Amino acid sequence: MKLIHYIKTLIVLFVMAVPAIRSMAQTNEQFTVITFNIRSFEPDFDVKPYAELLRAYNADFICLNEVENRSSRQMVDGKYRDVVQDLANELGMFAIFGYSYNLSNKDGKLPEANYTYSQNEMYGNAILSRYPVMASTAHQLPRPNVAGSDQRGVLSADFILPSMKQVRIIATHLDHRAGQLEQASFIVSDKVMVDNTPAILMGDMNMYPGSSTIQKLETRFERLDGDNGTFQSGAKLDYIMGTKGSWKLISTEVLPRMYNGKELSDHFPLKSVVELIK
Amino acid sequence: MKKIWKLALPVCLMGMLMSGCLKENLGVGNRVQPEEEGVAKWNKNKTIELYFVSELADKGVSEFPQLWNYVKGKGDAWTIGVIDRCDVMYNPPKQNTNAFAYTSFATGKFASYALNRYAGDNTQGSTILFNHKINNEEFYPVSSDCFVKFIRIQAKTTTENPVEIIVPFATARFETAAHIDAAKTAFGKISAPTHQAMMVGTVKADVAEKLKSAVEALTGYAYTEVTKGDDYVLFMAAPKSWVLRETTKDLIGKNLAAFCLSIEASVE
Repeated sequence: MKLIHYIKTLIVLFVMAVPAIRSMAQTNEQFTVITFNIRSFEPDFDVKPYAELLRAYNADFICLNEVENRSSRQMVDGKYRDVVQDLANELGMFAIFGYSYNLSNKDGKLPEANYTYSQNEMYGNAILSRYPVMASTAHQLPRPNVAGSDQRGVLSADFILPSMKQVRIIATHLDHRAGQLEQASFIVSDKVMVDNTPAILMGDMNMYPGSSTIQKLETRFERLDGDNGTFQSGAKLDYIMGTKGSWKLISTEVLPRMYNGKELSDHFPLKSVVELIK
Repeated sequence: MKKIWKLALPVCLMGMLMSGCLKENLGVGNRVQPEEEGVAKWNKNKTIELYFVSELADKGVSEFPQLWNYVKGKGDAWTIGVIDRCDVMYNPPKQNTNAFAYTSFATGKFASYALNRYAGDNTQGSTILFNHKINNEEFYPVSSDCFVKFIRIQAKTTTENPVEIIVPFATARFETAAHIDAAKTAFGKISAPTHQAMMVGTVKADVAEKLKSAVEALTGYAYTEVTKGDDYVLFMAAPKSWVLRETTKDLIGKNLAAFCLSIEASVE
């Protein structure tokens, strides 16, 4: 009789322990991340083809560069549109826009303080995410004093996952003319890397693998992508990187930039599946 | 005599119910805070209107079209507001929408999400809506199912010549005594001189008194019960220089209400 009682107790304990055993046996969390320079949703500012292209990959985090948002030329029926939230909604995702500059101050001659509470005519980066943004910071990057250069920015967003782990996604776009090394130095500084939260850095760095700019980024990050070209010319300009020792690359792939015969950008989207190991 | 009561009672109750509904639909039934002794008279030239849309119940918003129409109808007069329990399915089938993103898009407002908790494939939380871009937002964890969100938002008075007022705004939902016990660090951060936040959020009715005590223990802070639902209390916890002068209520759905809080800044 006693034996039966012990066996019953053991069975009950085992059943109670199953969720814990299952949780211990689970692998680390994996994420699908995509970076895409969307060229301002030109020419017609319709987000739907972008949503259709991206939807198939069921991404957890998507970084967008060259995001023109709430601009006059994107108006519909005389009203400004938040095209970032429009795209996010199409994908069932959260979104945050990271301001780099106001389109009416493209040359940067007016003080930035004039635009602290901008409502429209904005340009910058964006992050779309499966999870809500807990904290975020948008910085302007150092601007090179070279004709034709743009005011670039970096957007950093923190997420609490359902597992209660915290991760950071950083979206940036370095200049196409000059100053990339100085901008990379800003990104790896404690202005952006405020603590040791595992972070993924994504975006159009406008520099080749092995360049001093990429080497500077590699002082804090390691590559989570391949060397295949991401620009229409075949050049590798877009990167996915993770803070050293925090991530493992599972797979990476350059995605198409055409959807149903329509060219969505001069850049190809870049996708990686990564695993959080720390 | 008994017969008269049997007839009169339902008629009286019906009358009371109807008058209550009419008042809410017309946006009247205002609650004006009594002016305290020693507190300056209400100066509307430095008063902002903060909207808080909620059922004050343990359920997510479902009447989105009515909500979007209400916010759009307010136009630029809505400079700061919260959609309580704007729950979002974060693990959606591929064709799903996102209530947060769509609320921002449909209303033309900028938005930030204040997570309460993950619940299965859903997030429970609030959508904060305002009229300008932000370069910074912060959060302070209380527990795995309670977080305080902080953003600096530029609000405007609704006077003829609007005055811009920066609101160091925070929101959260407190459901248990344990949340309030664990909130000490978060309260310390948002009440610090760097933040001095005005927090407007909800607290489960049975722990509202505990929250009141915790807020009143913060130097220079006051707790105000804005209104009370069946399950939750809408509260304001802020430095004493922010004074709630009036609360009006619009019923915008079957149970969904928009509370408009007239809050005066810099009251001496």
